[in-house]
Amino acid sequence: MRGLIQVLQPMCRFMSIVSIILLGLLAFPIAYDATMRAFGKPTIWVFETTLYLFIAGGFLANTLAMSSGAHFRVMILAQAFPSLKPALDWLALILTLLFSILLIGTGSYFVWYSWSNDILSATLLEVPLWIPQLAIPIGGVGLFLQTLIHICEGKMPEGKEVIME
Amino acid sequence: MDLIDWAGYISIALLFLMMLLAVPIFVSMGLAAFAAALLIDDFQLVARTFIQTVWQGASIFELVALPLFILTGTIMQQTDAGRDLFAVTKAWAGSISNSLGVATIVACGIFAAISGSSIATAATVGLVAIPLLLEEGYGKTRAGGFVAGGGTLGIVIPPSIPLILYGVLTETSIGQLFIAGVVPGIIMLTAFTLVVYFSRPQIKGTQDVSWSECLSLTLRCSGVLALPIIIIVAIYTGIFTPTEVGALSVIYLLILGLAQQRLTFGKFVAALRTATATTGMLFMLIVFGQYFAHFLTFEQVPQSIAHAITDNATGVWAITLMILAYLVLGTFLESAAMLLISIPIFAPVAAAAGMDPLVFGIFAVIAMEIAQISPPVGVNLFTIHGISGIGLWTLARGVIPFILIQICMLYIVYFFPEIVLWLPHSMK
Amino acid sequence: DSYRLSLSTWGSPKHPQVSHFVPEFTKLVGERSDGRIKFRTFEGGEMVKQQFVPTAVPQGTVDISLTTLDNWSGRTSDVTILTTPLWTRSMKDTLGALKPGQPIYDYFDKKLREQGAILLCAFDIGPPVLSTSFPIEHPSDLAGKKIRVYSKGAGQMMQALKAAPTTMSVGEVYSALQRGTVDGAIGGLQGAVGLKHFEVTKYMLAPMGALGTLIHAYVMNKDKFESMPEDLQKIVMESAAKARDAMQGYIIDKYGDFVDQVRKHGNTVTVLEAGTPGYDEWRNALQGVNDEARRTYPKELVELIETK
Ligand code: NA
Ligand code: NA
Repeated sequence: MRGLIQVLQPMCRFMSIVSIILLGLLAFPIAYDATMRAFGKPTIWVFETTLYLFIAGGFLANTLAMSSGAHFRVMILAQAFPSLKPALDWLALILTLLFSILLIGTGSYFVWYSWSNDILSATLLEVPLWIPQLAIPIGGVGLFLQTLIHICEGKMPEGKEVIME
Repeated sequence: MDLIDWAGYISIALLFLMMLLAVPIFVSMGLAAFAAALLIDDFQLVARTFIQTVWQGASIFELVALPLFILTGTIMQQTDAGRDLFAVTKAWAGSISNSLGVATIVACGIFAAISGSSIATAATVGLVAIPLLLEEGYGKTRAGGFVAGGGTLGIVIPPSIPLILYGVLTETSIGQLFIAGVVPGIIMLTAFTLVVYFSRPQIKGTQDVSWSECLSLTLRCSGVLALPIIIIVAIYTGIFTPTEVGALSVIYLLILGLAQQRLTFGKFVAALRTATATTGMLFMLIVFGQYFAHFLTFEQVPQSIAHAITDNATGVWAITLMILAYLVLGTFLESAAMLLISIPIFAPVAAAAGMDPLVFGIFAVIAMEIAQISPPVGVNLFTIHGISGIGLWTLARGVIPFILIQICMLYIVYFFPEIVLWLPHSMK
Repeated sequence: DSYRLSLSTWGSPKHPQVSHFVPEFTKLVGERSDGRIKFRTFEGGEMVKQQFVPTAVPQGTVDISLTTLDNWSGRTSDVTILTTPLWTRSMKDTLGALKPGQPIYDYFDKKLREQGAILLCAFDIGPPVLSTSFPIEHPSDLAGKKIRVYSKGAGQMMQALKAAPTTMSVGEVYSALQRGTVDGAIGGLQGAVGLKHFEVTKYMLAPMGALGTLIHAYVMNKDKFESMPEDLQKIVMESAAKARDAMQGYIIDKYGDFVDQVRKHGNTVTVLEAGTPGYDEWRNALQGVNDEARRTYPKELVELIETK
């Protein structure tokens, strides 16, 4: 088990770093476009590109959210009956794993559909849609691996990050 | 009755069952709707609809504002902006009764005008204020309650993450929603301040800070203090869209942090890390919450429930019913999930009761505020508990006056919609 | 066997393309099929938003949806020819020319079938209008102005006229016009009236075809369509055609009323009638776009569009 965790951990960390970079970059093109528009020269690429950056960051950030226990759960039952907590954790992990498989499967199909039909965005930029859509199955893989790590460890993480909502 | 007529209700039952069993909410939403859909359609169609809806729910440009306003909050935390704000409000509150408590609420109000999150507001101000409040003898109930309650201002005073989400769900202008939150936010800030001011014990302000000291302190913190004004003016005048304001705020705080030598690379990464984890959490909730809502809408469940409500209750009774529903939902749901489930159902009810979409947006967000400080599941309570160790039920007693004000505010917004509408309608 | 079809629209449910089509179409189909086909209708985009129709319908997320043909440009690039100024037909011409059996209709029906959708009917909601905060009469008035565009085709046209095309969501256009974030917006007349853009603009140009027009359609998932017996297929197609003709007629009758509404709200409206010098001035300014279009699109299609 420990060996598996050691293999999976760096992959998950990599995805988390990528998501941090993607979301960290977001402010700059938007601020650039806003400034350019103030000078009467709006760009045509920022609106769409930043949306795809955000989508990619959002799906990949799932790995970090999962590892840091940021995903919200209703813990009423676990608090009332602490002895149930391990069983509830297991159920949560198994269903999350199932869910990540669903994301990987349907996401891959969606990428294939857009790729094989040559679907482009209906904008001036004409982005092949399979590229941003790739974020869905990759995000699903991140969720799958991170959940697998928690299953190996035998528990869901407690919240470490402040949830900023 | 066909199965097809029940699938929507089955998905609701599944959702609540899975949530009760502590399955992450985004997983519960996704799987509940997916499983219920399998009852009426074949796997291929259900899977295709699932992924199509997920893509639609993610591809919303307005959502790009979320990570930006989350990041402004985390950068401010990392650069100790809370300490600055609190120092300024404490100095100005001077020797009036309960000055420290008043300073806490006002600091929350100012922080709220930069951050889109009530938890960020409560945590940032709380870290500085709670130790001092305890030291001055406010007691745990009041000290924790003030910060948890004051923190909720973070989502009514713009910018506001739940208002962005509401705007996306109802296709209402987010800029107008932000401006609509200003007056109700100020009214609540005032009401909160008065509650704190008149709350016993009448603790005298301990320090008299001279005018010149107050001014020099304010001047020293003017970088952060100017940001709320810049944000509101930029949105009000329409120079920038709300998303752009978020991006520019991030860059403003980066430059300010570097200029003040408070933001190191490590702190920036820490701010980004928290913001990314939070974005990941919210993003999944929003995407799969929309999938769930999409399925319910397809099964015409919200329409049926809304009809049932409007057939039986109108006007103030419909509003009261909504408030009760929100109070119940709010005991165990956090705000994004609550918005995603409730908006499709309640928006038509609100419209039937004659509420403008802007008014209902503010109404819903005040209901979110109550949810965040009502036990047993109240994210602000958890946050304050996390940073101060004050017990959950002690905190819950401390927020009772704030909850009462918020309930009154829900009715005020309904009976006097002009409070909400006046400012956005003057935007011409 | 009975069929339950979902029908989705976006934009305002009060737009004639919805209000004068959906009730009529569903009523006709219901009557003529003796209730074998039932509908669930979703008006206002809660099921599928405009830009997602070209994947949602072929995937079967909804069975029938309103769409702009232009939205399909990401799947079948020929559709954008309909947004170029090569299209000079009046709405009255379109009433007859965009019907099943007519060459243009059949051309695009075939293209959409390759993508998994059936063209139930196509119609012209009228030439797009420019709502602006600055006086607009001549093409040169657009130079350097920030104009919100709705599509790739409109963006190219604005670029050709030296304007700066800007993308933003529909919901933000009103306040962007109000507060000068953009100087103007190009889009459908009824939509602009529905969203009350006239409250925040001072001028409107109704180019009456000098800048092309807006072809919208109702499309249906191909597999779903073909899963129905032929008699039901026929009922659906004929009902769509009948409801479409009535709706197209209504739009033709009321187009002038919508222009008058804008005028009544204090906007200075310039209408370019075909054959006048003002109209030709805009046509000439867009000559380059037309030449480019003639080079880009299949010859066969260009001929179909240009011959009347
Ligand atoms: Na705020
Ligand atoms: Na609560």
